[in-house]
Amino acid sequence: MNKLDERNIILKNLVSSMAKKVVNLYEMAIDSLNNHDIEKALKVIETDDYINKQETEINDVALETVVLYSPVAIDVRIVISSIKIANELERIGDYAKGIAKFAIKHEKIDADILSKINTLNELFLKMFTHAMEAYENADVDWAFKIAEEDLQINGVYNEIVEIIKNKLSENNKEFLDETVNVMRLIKNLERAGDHTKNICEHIIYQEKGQRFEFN
Amino acid sequence: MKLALSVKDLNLYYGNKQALKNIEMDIYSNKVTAFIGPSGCGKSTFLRCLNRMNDLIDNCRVNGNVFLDDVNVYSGKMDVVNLRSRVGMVFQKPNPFPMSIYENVAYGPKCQGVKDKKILDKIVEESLKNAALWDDIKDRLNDDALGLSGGQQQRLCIARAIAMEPEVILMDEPTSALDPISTKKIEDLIDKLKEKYTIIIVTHSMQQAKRISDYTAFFLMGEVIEFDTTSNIFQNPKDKRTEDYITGRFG
Repeated sequence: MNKLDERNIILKNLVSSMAKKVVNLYEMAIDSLNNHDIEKALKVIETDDYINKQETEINDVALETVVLYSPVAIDVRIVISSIKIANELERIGDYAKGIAKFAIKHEKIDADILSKINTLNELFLKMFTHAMEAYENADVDWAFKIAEEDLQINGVYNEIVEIIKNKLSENNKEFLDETVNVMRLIKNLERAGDHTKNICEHIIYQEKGQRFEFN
Repeated sequence: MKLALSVKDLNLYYGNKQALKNIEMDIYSNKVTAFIGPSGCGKSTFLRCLNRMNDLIDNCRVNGNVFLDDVNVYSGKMDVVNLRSRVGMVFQKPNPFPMSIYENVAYGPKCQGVKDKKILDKIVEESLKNAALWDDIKDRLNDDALGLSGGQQQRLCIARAIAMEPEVILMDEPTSALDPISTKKIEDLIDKLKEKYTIIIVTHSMQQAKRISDYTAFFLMGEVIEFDTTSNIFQNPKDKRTEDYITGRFG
């Protein structure tokens, strides 16, 4: 095997391993929210630190690959997309931390909304897992399709916004205090979906050398 | 963009063996074009077609057209001596004539009938300055050229080509016999020379092609597989064979 092939495998494995940690992070974050499990929420914050370190490691390996091997064509695109995907993963990790922080601060959450948040989380994790499978299989066609899953995430996000609006119009003052925080909470998942869409763009760039932007 | 050379349907045979197949290529003026490819792919053979250096090889037969300012290089009207002064050449190994530095540069113009010492002095000085050699040797113009270092000898050969005021300079692996510092000087020089001349360079170093060329042609078994901007060739080649070669997965 050529040295660059070895490097590409190392980079792809590092990205995949970081992605697995992200999945784990969201599972823990939603658990901590559902069960108001502060210990688990703290574990999310700790794991997020580890994910940030993984991003640095990927950047270091990528830089070293450029310096030592001067990659071109598909090889340089793998280096570039590894850096970019690692950056998206780091951001997605931060959003899980946002959910955990909410879980620590807020004991109670409206049951209707919590149920929807679980749906939102499931949809996000499904999309994210698909995106990482497309990455591992270098499957461009799939990367194009997965991006559409973000529409479902945005749909549920909007449903939650509607529930909030309705509850507010009932002049439910107690709920008003929570509104801003819940909005922030669900925004985390909505943004995580956007970043997953970006990962699909990076997969397309890596394999085809073409920039593509999903609207 | 202005064309310096335009090659149409060029085929070359060594005896019965076809060494170049249906080559079509436009070479742009004031750009550096690099030819890359594995040994024996035809890149040097093609380079030599551009100023008919292959005429000197027995058994070699060329058909097709190479246009230099709309005149076919292979037509009966083309004076080969005149062609080679318009399309100069620098070889892999520095090959100064066994004479003084001054005489090396003045040789071509003298052959063309320039006799006035003042004019010759000016040509020699300008050519050596353009070849970034003047400051190194201005105090020893009458020394033997063979006493120069390899890198200096190669720059002298470039000065000798420039003295003929060519339009195109062909370079066949001009730095492969040189150390990294001399190589860097030649590469910097090429970058400067393209303001005035069109440069075509055969190189085995893909790093060099990336560093110095604007366009790159990838040759394989006598064919041009891909010709594009150097940036496109090295970022996103269209042909799988180009990608395999430049990423080192060839063969």
